[in-house]
Amino acid sequence: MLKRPAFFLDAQICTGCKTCMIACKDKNNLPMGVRWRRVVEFAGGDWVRLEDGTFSQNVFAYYISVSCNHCRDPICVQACPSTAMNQDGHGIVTVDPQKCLGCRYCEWACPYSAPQFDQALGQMTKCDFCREELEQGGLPTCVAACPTRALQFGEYDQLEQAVRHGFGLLMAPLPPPVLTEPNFILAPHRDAKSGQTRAGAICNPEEVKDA
Amino acid sequence: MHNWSLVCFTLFTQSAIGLVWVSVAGRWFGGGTQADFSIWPMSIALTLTGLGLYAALAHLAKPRLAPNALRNLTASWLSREVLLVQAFAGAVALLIFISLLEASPGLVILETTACLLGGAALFAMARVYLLKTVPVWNSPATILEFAGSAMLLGGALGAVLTVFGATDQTGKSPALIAAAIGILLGLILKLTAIFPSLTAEQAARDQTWYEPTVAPLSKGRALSVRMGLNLAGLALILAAMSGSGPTWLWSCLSLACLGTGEVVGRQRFYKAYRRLGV
Repeated sequence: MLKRPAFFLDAQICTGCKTCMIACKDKNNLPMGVRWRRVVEFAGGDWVRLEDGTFSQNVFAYYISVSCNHCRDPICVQACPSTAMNQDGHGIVTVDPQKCLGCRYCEWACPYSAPQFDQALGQMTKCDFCREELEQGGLPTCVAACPTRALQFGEYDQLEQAVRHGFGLLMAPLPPPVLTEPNFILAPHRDAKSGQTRAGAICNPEEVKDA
Repeated sequence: MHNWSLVCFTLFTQSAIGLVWVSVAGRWFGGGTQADFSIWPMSIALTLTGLGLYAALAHLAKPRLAPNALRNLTASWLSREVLLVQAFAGAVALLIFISLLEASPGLVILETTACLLGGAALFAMARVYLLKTVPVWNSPATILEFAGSAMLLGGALGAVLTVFGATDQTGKSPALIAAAIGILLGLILKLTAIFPSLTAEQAARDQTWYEPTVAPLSKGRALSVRMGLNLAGLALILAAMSGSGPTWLWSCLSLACLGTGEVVGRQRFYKAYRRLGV
């Protein structure tokens, strides 16, 4: 098992195919409305009038695949009143179904919409990095399914060294990483907008908003 | 997400805390003799807290696991809130029991304890919503709003109970004066909360992606309706204090105005939820 497992996403080569999202749903047999991994489409742009009177455009779109980032400073663990949301020695955040009372306070707090409420079970559920796959030396299902290898998994420090360029950029629509210190490393898209820009919008809210 | 259970829990509990504050202040203001102690405000406060906790259970998907909510006292403000509200209820229950004894030892100490536990519960209740990922709530306005609700509703309930329990109808009893001061303080807290509320709303608009399910406070209508109801409540309590006309009617109408304003405001508070990130 890795010391500090992390996800890596190369937004430049992510095509937004959502294979990761479907693989996760399929592997974990998730019911309708529960999405441990979501692919956010962020897009914007408009016509731009040039000096010679002609028009061009600055339209852009990029995709970010997001799941639980098993943050170093997990706000869900702090918020949970029952200690059902807990973090193990490897930094993997999981929900203890014996303790979760379904207050949904973790859902309020998490800026990645990682804890997802399962109506039928009456409790929160979430990504656990496919722990049993990791214990057998495998990869998380979403990573294994990615056809472009945009989504990767590994030791945080190694991934960080591999993508030093651009690392730490605050990329819209993700929240500032200082909030929770996510174990998620992002190689930004060439059109990435920084921070909470108003130059774009989430174009698939139905697919990524809380159920 | 259905917010009615949380609206009931927060408003019932805050009313109970405010009622205990106002009743204790009224008794102390009137000289603090044991004969002045009325069991009714404390019984109503205990009932309201019980109803609030019952409403909170309705918010849970698994109410049978509710005792687990006390497991994370070291880190979770929600755990602390649950503990402190229960401790407040316990102190009020003990106060009622002690008051029934002939000697009533330590009445003042118990009253002070109940008031302090109420204050701590109110603070914890507000801290639950001060999430760094929810800018619209993460503001001093949340604390001011919650404290204001406690004073307004506690004051209005105190006024109703005083008027119905009064032997003379002059309307100038210390308890009624304390209730009116409570309402006035509540109104001041609510007015103080307006500017930080607007600032927090602007921060949420700048930093978050999804639209809330409620019109912004800055549009004015929600704010003016609430302030109008609060001012009407204050005017009616002043009418009750003047002793002219049916004081019981003025105090009941005051409670109705303030209660409606608080329900509207609290629903709006929950519907304004917007979180940073995706």
